[in-house]
Amino acid sequence: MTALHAIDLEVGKGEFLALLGPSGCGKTTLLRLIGGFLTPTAGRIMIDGEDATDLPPERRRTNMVFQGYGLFPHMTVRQNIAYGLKIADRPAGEVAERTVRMAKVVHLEDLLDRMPATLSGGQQQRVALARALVMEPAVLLLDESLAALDLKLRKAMQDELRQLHLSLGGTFIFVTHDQSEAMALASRIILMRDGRVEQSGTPEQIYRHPNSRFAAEFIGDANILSGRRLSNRVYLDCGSECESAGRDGAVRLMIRPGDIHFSDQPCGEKEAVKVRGRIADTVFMGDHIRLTVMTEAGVKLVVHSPGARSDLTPSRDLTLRWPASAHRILESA
Amino acid sequence: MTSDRPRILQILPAATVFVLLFLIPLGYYLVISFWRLKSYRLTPDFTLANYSEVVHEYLAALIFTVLISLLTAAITTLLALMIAYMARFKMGKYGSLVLLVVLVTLFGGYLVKIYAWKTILGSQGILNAGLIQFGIVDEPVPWLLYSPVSVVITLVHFLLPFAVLPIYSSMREIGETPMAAARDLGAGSVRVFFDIVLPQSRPGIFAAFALSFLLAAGDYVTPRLVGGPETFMVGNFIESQFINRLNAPLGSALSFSTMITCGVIVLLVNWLLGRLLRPR
Amino acid sequence: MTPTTSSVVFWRAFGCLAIFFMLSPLVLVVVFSFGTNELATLPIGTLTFRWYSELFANTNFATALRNSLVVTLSVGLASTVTGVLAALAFARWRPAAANGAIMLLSLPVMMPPLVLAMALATSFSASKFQLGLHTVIPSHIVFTQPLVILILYAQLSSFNFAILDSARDLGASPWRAFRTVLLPLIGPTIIGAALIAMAVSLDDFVITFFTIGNGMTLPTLVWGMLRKGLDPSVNALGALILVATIGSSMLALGLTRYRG
Repeated sequence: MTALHAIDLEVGKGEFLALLGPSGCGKTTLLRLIGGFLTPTAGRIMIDGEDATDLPPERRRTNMVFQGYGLFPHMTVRQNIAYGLKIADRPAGEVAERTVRMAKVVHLEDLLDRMPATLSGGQQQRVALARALVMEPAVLLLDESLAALDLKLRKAMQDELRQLHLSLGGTFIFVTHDQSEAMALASRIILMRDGRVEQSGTPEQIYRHPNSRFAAEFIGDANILSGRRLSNRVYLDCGSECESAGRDGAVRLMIRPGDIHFSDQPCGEKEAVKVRGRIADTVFMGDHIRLTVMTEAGVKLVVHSPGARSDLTPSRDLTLRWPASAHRILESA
Repeated sequence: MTSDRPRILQILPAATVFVLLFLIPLGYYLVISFWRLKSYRLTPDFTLANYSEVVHEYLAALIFTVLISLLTAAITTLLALMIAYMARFKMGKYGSLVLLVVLVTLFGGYLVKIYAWKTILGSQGILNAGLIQFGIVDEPVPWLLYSPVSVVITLVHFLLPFAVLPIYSSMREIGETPMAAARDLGAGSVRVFFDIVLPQSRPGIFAAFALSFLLAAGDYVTPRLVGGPETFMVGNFIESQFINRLNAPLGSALSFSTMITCGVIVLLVNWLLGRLLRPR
Repeated sequence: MTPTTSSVVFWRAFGCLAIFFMLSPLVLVVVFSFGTNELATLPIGTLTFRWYSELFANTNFATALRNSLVVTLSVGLASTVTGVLAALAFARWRPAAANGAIMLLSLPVMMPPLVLAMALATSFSASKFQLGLHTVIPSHIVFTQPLVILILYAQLSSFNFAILDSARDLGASPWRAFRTVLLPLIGPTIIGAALIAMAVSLDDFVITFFTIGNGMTLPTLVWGMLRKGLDPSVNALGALILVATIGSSMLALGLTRYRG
């Protein structure tokens, strides 16, 4: 069973790269390969121009923040952070100075003499981060390390990580299954599935131009409508049509819920796709209302309506429309 | 099963056994160490004569016993550490096999094992026969049996499973992630062992050492069967005082002196381990 | 973790040596019990059951066997009952209190058996109790019940008692919940603990020796045979005891699914 198929990946200096995908897609395998905890059965790993493939983790210029943090339970925060420097035989003065400096960067300077068991999840996360960053690695690896934190804390840590990356300017690679986290942090996303790279690009690129149904559905919400293309015109099963150049055959159309407008709003473009349907369900999501609309043909669409509108009740008929530039045609299969 | 009153009733049987057959007998045994033996009859008294006899007559035996037991405990703990480490971190399934073998030999007969070593180490025993066969020596080595060597070997063999258990138990609690993190930060296997594994195994190591030490110090069957005339340990004296002279008070004084001495030493070892295994 | 080859070789060799060291005395006893050579040396001679038949013909053996069985079974039963009851109670205590209590009850196991034996012997004689099997059995219970408690508590401390509450919620009485939900789950462990208690009791020599008076069990029989000098059927007896205790403990380990 191949955990990871052949991959060609180049990461530039200073990038904040996200390895994104569902469980079992190979993202953690890839991260561990980079970190040196796994040896590839074929291929090479180059770090800063040097061949690192045969180097064990202790000799690679990478450092990892582990899932579960892996703090040394019998050492204080200070000893944890200083550990790598001590192993590298740095002079005591330098070790102390760099430890304190890094502790300040992650706001832990008051907790230096505490034991890990007495710290909260967020604090432990920061110790693990400091411990890795103080080594000034060529690449910092993060293994789903925000997964155990609750939502608010996770967002705060995401902000801190972004700040750290901006100020320290290193190369960060992190693994996550949370697409909103990947979009928030990464300068480039590698979307993976079943051991292969599905798509690579900036968050905006993948969001706007997903190459496949999987990519479209994994990042952001998506409506996928099936249809057929004949003579460069697509006929959707829900009854609408639009222009599209390409081969004849079955196709899918992807439209984001947030890009769909209602009939009484101006549409802007002449060539718009129109769909008629009835509101089946409304859910109040805070900053928007999520509408489930069923067409006469029985096709379901999800639409986001910004702001509060008391006239959007179930069983009300609606005309939906969107400009042709908003949707994306995906070739089937 | 959920209210509190039955709970106390539940521990009553075990507690009764404990009090009647441990606390009270031990208490009584302690008390008679202050009694006297008048014409082979036990007479209540309060005297420290027995203890002073211990100090005057048996100090050498006590010291010898302590030394041999320390040596035994040290060897046992070291070997147990290696076995537990191997079973836990190296060799996956093979390590579990070794662990299983060691644990199973925990049973299998106390006397049987001592008797087995007696036959192995004797002048005509397997070990000597093998040494002669392979030309390592010309004559049977006499000091393999009836000497401190045989006592130590036999005790180590008997105590090893008892020592492996707590150390392995401690090591099971050590997570793989901190070890991977240490390697990520530059530590080689040796460093990981001394910095991460050893400090966290300290409770198990201490338990193993204390148990081996105490059990070795109190043993009398082993020196009796495989030890020579020079290896009389305190246990032998306690037993002979009781059986041959019916001198329970002296036997008791010897017993408690030994236990107190051992207790003090165990506390010292605990402190020492704390200093040695502290992370730097 | 990719270990170096020299490391692999070292640990393999050490493992083999360890197994060899631990097992060879036991294996030798069994081997010699089947050999015609009277001295326990090589060559062992031809295969024979002579020592076993001599052993079985020994009247002391029959007595000792009977006594050992009586003691072992009684001790197994009694210490399992006291131990299980106590462990079930401890499982509901706070861990710190439970561990303290268990440690206390385990003191008899942690001291030199000789001291405990002498304490019991002097106490029995002072209270004018006759020594016999009826003094041996309670003496054994005091150091086997901690083992039962330890084994059972290890499983119970990670036990989710919420399932008992769900049984009650669904209408089961406390006794029924215990019988149908708890008991099946800890049943194998209880049996395993009982087997361990029995193995320990069967093998005990020191405490039995001082509390049995004129009687004998299998271990004291071995002792007697050893004192009398070279009797090769001692190997046979030793092999039997070995098989009984190891067999029972392996069964127990399998039942309790012991993983350390």
